This record gives sequence, C-alpha cells and structure tokens, in this order.
Amino acid sequence: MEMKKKTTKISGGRTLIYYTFTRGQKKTGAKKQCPS
Amino acid sequence: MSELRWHPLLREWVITATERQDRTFLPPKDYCPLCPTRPGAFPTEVPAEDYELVVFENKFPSLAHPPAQQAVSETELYKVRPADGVCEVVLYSPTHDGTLTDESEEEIRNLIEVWTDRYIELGALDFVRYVFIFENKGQEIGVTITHPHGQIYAYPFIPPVIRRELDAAREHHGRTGRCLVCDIIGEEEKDGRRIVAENDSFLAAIPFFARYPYEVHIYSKAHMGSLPGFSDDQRWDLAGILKAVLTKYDNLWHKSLPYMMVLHQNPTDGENYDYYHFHIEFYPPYRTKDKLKYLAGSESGAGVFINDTLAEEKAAELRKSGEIADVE
Repeated sequence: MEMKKKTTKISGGRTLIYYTFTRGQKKTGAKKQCPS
Repeated sequence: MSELRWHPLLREWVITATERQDRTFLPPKDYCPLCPTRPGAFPTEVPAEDYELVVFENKFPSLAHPPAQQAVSETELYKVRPADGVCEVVLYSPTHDGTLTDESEEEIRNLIEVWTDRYIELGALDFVRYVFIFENKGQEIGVTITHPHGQIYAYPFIPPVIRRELDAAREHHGRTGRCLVCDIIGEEEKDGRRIVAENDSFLAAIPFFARYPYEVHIYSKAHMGSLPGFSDDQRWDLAGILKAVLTKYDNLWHKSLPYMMVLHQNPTDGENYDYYHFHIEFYPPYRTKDKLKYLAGSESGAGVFINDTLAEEKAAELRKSGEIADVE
C-alpha cells in the first residue's frame, strides 16, 4: 500500500492535503473469536 | 480573538475562541462545506470534484499558528498564553450521507495511515506538545456538520486527561516495573466478561472502570506508544477491530450510534514516555436506545461519574451485536 500527498492552499491561506492510496494487501490470518 | 486562560483552581488551560460562535451550523445537504465541489455548484472547502481522504486546517480553529490576537492581558493570578497550535479537519469520504462505520476495512486502514502522517508531521512542530486525534459523531454530541469527518487538535501543552493518564502510568511502572495498560489488558483477558471483540493485535473491551454505559476501549496488545510504531499487519488489525466495534455499535439498536472517539498516544514534546500505551476510547452518549447519559452535577461539578449500568452486562450486549451492518 502506498500513500501519496498533494498539498494546496484554500481560502484564508489555509493548507489542504489530498491523500490518495494504491490498493493494499490485507493481512491474512484467522480472526479470534471473543468469548460468548 | 483567542487565547489560553489558566484555571488556577483546576490548574488547567481553558481555550477561548470567539470566532467559533460564527461557525457553520447544520447546513442543508446541498450546501455542505465538506462535500467535493461539484461542477456548477457552490464552492466547498474542497476545490475538487472528488477525493479519497482530505485533511485541511479548520476555518474556525480553537488553536492557530500564528495564534490569534488575545482579548485580554494577564495578571499575576490570571495567566494568559497565545492559543498557538493547529486544528485540522479529516474528511473520511466524499459521500455526504455516511459514517466511519460505512467505510471498508481498507478505507479505515487508509485513514489510519493519514492519522499516522498527521501525528508525525504535527508532532514535529516545535510549538506542539500533543497531537490529539478524535471524532465527534452525531448531533447529540454537538456535531455541526454531519458529513463524515474527524478532527485533530495539535495542542501547545499536554491536555489534563492525558497528563493524569501519564502520571498514573509512570507511577505504576515505577512501583511494579510493568505497564499499566498492559496490566489492564491482562485483567480484562483474565476476567473475559467485558471483552467486546479481539484480534491478533488488539483487544476491545468495556473496561472495569468504564464511566459511560457503552464506553469501549481498544488496546494494542503489543506495548506501543503511538501509531508510527505499528507494523503493517497491526494497522490492518486496528482497521479490523475499529470496523467491528463501529458495526456492533450501530447494530446494537439498529441505528447509527453517536459517540466521541479519542486516540490516546504519547506526547510529542521530546520527552521519554516508554511507560505509556496507545489506546482508543469511545464514549457513546446513550445509556439506553432512547435515553441519553448526561454529564450533570456529579460528573461536571465534582468529576465523579455515575454509571447506571454494569460493564459486564453492556459488554455482553455488544458481543451479541453482530459484525455485519444491520441498520435502518
């Protein structure tokens, strides 16, 4: 998974950041069951 | 105008921020300032037709850099400091009618990456001592814009709740040689009745000492102080347990449950906090499906919470609440 940032300015000179992502590989593994 | 005013009785800072009185209040959907700017429509805070995740400086900040002009001067008793810091808004999604619960595990995983980036970047600023990541969800909490979003306050001091936790953790570590939160996890695992959900890296429980009826804490099983220390697998697991807890909340009464969500991490003031332990706390305001838990005289005036419920019983309700979305 890769994150990219692109920064720009908006009203009042404030900073705005766009974050974009390439698709990540979800971890594999059994999920533990909580006690019922 | 904005400043920090010292509360000499409680020995903590109060932020005054008068411009916030004029902030946007429950705008109609077509004029949501957090939606993308659609062609031909009014310009929102985000000058783009679409986005994944966006962070921007709050238009109505409590803290700013450079800080706003102060309204008063200090006296010997009444200390005043500049409200120096950063207030950011984190947009979870371009979709107006959604919540964090609606995001996929992968999208929550991406949000964790953004939280981590902001923690590092804001924490590196020399005027920032603590990066506080949180979400207020629901009008019952006082939310003024319903578009799914969280916030980040970069404070020029360590907030008092964090300070109390740090002091408790340091004292416990000094006395026992162990981490206080690691010991809390051990107690919850040993008892088991208050556990709500669990995976390889995280435990979600309504702890023994919960102040709100449905107050869930998410603890990292590994002794970690802040988000940047987590591995890729741990970040996926954090996304997974957040998704599970959020879904259980909404399934509890088949409605979108309001809450405050707060991340407790190490301060960023350069000191050593190896004895502290990352965790997330949720404070939903409801004590039943249609009754709110108010912070009244005892809670607000004496700092003593009255919890009308047993954590063991509420945790059992949340355990039974499904992890597949089932909301009206």
